Amino acid sequence: MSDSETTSKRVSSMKNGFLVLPFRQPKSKVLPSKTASYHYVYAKMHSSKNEGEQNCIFVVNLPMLANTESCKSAINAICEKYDTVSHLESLVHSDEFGLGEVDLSALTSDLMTNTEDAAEKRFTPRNTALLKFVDKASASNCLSALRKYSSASKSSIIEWEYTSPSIQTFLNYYKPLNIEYLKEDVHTHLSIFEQREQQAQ
Amino acid sequence: EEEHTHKGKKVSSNTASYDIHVARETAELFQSNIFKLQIDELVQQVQVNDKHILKVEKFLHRLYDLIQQVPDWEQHSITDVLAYFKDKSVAIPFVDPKPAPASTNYKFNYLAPDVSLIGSFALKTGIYQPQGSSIDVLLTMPKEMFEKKDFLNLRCLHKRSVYLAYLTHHLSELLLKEGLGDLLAVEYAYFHDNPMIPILKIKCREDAPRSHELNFYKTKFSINLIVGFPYKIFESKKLLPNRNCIRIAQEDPEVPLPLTSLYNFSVLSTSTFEPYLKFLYKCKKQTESFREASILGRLWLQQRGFSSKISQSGGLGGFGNFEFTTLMAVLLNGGGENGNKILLHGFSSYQLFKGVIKYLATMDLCTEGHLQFHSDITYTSAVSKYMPEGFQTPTIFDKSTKINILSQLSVNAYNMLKMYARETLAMLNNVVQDQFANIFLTNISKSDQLKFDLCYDLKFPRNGSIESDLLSKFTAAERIKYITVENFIVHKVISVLKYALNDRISNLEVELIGHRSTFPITKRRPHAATPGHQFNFESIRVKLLINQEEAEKLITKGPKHSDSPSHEAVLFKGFWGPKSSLRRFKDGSITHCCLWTSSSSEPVISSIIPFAIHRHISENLVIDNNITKMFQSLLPLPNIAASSKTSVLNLSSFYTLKKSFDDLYKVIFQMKLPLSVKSILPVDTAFRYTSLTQPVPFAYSDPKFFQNIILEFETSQKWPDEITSLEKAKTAFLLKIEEQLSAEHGSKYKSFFTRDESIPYNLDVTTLNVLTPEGYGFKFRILTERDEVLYLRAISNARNDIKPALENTFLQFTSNYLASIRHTRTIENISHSYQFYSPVVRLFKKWLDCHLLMGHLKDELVELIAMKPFTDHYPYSMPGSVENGFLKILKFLSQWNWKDDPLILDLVKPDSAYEDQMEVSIGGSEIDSSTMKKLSEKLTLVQYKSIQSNFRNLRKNDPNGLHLQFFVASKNDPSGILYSSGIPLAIATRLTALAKVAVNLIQTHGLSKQTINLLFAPGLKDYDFVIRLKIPNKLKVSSGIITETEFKNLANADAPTEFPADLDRLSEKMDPTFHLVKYLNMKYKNSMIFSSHRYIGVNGNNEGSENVVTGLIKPMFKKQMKFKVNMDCDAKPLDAETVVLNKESIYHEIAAFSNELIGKFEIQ
Repeated sequence: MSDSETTSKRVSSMKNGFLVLPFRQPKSKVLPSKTASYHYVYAKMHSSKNEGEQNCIFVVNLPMLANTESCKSAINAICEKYDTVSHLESLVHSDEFGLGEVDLSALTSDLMTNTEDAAEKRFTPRNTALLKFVDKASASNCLSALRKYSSASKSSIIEWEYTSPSIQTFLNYYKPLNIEYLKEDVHTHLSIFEQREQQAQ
Repeated sequence: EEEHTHKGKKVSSNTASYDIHVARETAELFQSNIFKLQIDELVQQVQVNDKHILKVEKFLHRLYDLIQQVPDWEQHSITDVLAYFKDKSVAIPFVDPKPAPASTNYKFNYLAPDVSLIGSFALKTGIYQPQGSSIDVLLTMPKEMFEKKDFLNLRCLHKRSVYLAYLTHHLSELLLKEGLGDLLAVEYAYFHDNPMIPILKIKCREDAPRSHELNFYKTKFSINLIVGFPYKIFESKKLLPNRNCIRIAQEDPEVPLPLTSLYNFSVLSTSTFEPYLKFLYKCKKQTESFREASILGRLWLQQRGFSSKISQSGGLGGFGNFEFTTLMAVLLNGGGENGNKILLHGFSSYQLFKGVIKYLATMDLCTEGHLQFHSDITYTSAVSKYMPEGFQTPTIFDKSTKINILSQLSVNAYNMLKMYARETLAMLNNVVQDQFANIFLTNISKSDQLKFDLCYDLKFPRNGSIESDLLSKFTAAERIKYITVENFIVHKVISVLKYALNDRISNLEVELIGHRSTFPITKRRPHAATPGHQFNFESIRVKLLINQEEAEKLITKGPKHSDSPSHEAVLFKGFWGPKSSLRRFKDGSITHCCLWTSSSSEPVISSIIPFAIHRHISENLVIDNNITKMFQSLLPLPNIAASSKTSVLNLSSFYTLKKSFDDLYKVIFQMKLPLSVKSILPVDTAFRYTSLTQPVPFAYSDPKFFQNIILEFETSQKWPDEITSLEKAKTAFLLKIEEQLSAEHGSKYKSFFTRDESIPYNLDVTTLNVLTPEGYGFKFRILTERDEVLYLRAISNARNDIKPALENTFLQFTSNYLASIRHTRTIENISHSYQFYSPVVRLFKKWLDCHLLMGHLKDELVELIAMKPFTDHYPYSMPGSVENGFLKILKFLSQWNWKDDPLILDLVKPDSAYEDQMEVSIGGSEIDSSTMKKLSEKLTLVQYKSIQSNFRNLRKNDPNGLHLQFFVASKNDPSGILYSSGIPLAIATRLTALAKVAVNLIQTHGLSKQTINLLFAPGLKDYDFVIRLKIPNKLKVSSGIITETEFKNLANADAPTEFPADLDRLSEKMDPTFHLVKYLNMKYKNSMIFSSHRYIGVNGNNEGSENVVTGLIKPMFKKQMKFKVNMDCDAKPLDAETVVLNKESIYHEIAAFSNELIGKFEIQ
């Protein structure tokens, strides 16, 4: 495996404005580890009329199992490097495994979701997400830190910390559902459904 | 036609049969027209090259001149003859026993022969053969050379042998003198393998000078110089099949001498070449399509391994082109019971061919009757007639020459011929599917493993002990009957096996491996290729077609016991010896029996054959059939009592599961629920006997342990009109069932809920999993009449770009909830008639999983593909062994051009009776209602055509099959895409490639331990990377599998004998790698394909604690691409516009994802 950071010319941003953010990958016990390898995230300020999507950075290709926490810690580390502060609120529209690509519920009924929402239902391509910040300042602080980070020297590249699922995580899929929870869930859902039905009538 | 059929059903049966008749005639006319076109093309293709004919004719003229130059030789005594040849390099090919100088007082000489061309070259009915064909030149010995009694005691044969040797000697010298020595090679051969008719074979040498004007090497012709006797030189009456013409000394003069029919035939038939040529020539002149029909016959016979070769020395022979065309000529002149004509001169080649096939298929020429005719063309008034008198040997008797032209066809070979004729007749009567290729183009005798169900090799140890043992049994009386010891052995093996196996087999063939019919002119007779064998062969191969119904029965029933032993009882006891015993049956009868035991690794026949062969042929013969054993041992052995002693055909483990389900079914059916239960239908593999592993109680590590069940309630309008709520409502019902089950049957049944992911994007499906006291698991899901409506609504409401995804969701729903019911019912129903289907499909699944494909293919698709060799078995027989079925599947897959060809299956039971009835109906008689019913179950032409048009429509949009490869349709699914959509292209092509490699491997290296192991060794080198996973638990035993050699108690200690009290703990013995791979495939869906063993207990390591994950990068992602927001892959930048797949990063992610399970990461 070659060290891509040294052998190829470093690209800090793409032509269409995306910043290229390298993250060093932790050493793996099973992979050749002579040279480091890097994961690249692409980021750009997000502009949208949608009220829920203000103060957002659009990111492409987040590392495996990235969540709000892991993004927060990476952003904090970067901001810290460039003496700035930024508050990430949450990671939204992240659907790593494509589970929510299609909303069957919305497509089979107009009762469950607001019709306007459905019409304007946003569409996020696979392998992309939004980093939502608490305010405009946080978003722009972060972006400027990211800009610096994207062209920083090799030594300042930070390592991404993966959260690895355990064997138990995989085995848990076989475990029975909690029956009380299931009952409660069914009950709640069906009463909401009934209410809406009645309202519609 | 379809309309006719249905209308017919409603009205009276008379009208119905008339309509059917009309329908069939129309279809048949259509069929015969298509056939005509195909025949024209075929005949064109097999045409002999005219230039080749000219070339070889040139040589034939020269040969004629040379033969004329051979000097005459006056009469000599045997002593003089032997002295003459002593210093010559040419040996005299005497027939055994060679003439003894002391007792031979007749003379030998040579006078110039009458030379003529005979056979298909003369008749111009020959075809181009890739392996080359021979031209028969007849040299008739002059009349003056014979005395009246020369037909006796091999005298004429010996005269001929000397004649041939003298000719060979002079011809060789003349060839050298004329400078043709470099050009030609001469050797002795036996005409049609008959050791009584030695001939001289002339070929062009491969290394002959190309420039030589007579070089005919390229034509691939060889020339047979056949020495014949003059027509009517002997009194033919004395050489009738029921006469003795070889006198031997008998101890008891009262005992009649044995018949010498084979000898008599060999003498007479070599005097009648010319009359038969005239007979056939005349017929050919009268019948326009004669030549074409004879070409069809030749091809048909060839593809099935038949020829004019003598079948008494093993193999399929005795019925070649000569016999076929003669039969056709005979039927053109009568052949019916009243001498009515079976064929008419105006018939097309299709009709002539079909007529002959039908005659062979339906008329018995052996036990119940025979056919007689007159070959004398001057005797025009004589008609051929079927006579209701059988001679226990196939007979077409020529009253003119007194020859039975089927003399070289053994009863056994005749039975095979008749079977092929019957199958071909069924194919010809199939008006729905095109069977042309199956009838004429597929060579089914290429591979014994595909043609036969079981093969056994009988091997001789090198010390020669068996040879002398057998020779001592070959008495003088046997010798005059069988002529050679080889014929005698073949006959003996066949009779022993037929008696021993009886109705366990439907047909058999015995072949002498290493048997030679050509030999150098310096030798008197052929010898086996390897030294150390006295006989003209090395080993004997027994090939069986088994009778599925009877093959595995444990008792060989003999005659009833009586106080004075009957002839049959004596025979039975004598044959079986100590194995025979008396048993009392339920009906009180006492019968002679033999008792056998079944085994999971070997068929019962494998125990019977060694016993019978050792007892009756020779004790020291080594009987080898490891192939069957190896294949059967590949099937996972269930951890159930006595499973190693259970036949592969035994389905009891499945029945036990079904019984457990039936009990649960009753419990649920009786429940008081807000809606009453309409149906509870099993839809999973164990219910149709196709699960890779057999059901074993408490073996919950098996991925198929929980068997899917579909539950339907009576119709209700109250189901929510939105999918999530509908699923929640279904869960509410399942919760009610769970409540009652635990309240009323809690001591017996345990149950729990899990999420179900079988329908993409429907995240709210839950299933109720019930564990039965017998140790089985069933997974209940609910089907309502609303589901389909909602899925369809989702498609119509969706944006165009996600429509395909939703269509796929609908397809998954249809296949899992609706079609699965029909599929299970159909397969379960018909598989009882295809006994080997269950073990074959299970082995096929194992092979697929071994090659990491099972995770990508639906069970239903695999099962349908595996059904192909059973329901659509032509031109082969229906599989009668595990290896035969399995290899046929591989063969089919290797040849399936799925781009252009759909697989259309007719999922009905086999019914030979049905075909017979149809046959009668063509003759115009009525069809009864049961035939009508059967007819309606089969695919009709209209249905078939509509499926074909579905396929064409599909290919219009996807001409190369990039989106959907396997179109597999049946009446259950005319769309053909239900189970095969969503298979990645790379996986489909890999399946085809693997099958090709497998078939190629077997074709080049044969079946052996090594090749079978290779068949089941996954090729991991073809993937981009391989991840070795190790799990902490051993899942093999808890998947219900043991190995035969394993110490039983030890194995059982590991096997769960109950379900854990805390159901959470079930997950401890489940396979974590399944979910790992599932998520990898979900995450990298766009750019990569991950594969792994689905059945870790079967294909993991010895303990079921290892798995392997392979990754394949899709070709599109192997090159640079433009950076795009929606490119959906992990990419690294090369410059400001281009990116490339970031493999290193992905590998790290995968390694981190598989962290606790990963053992090794191999990058290719």
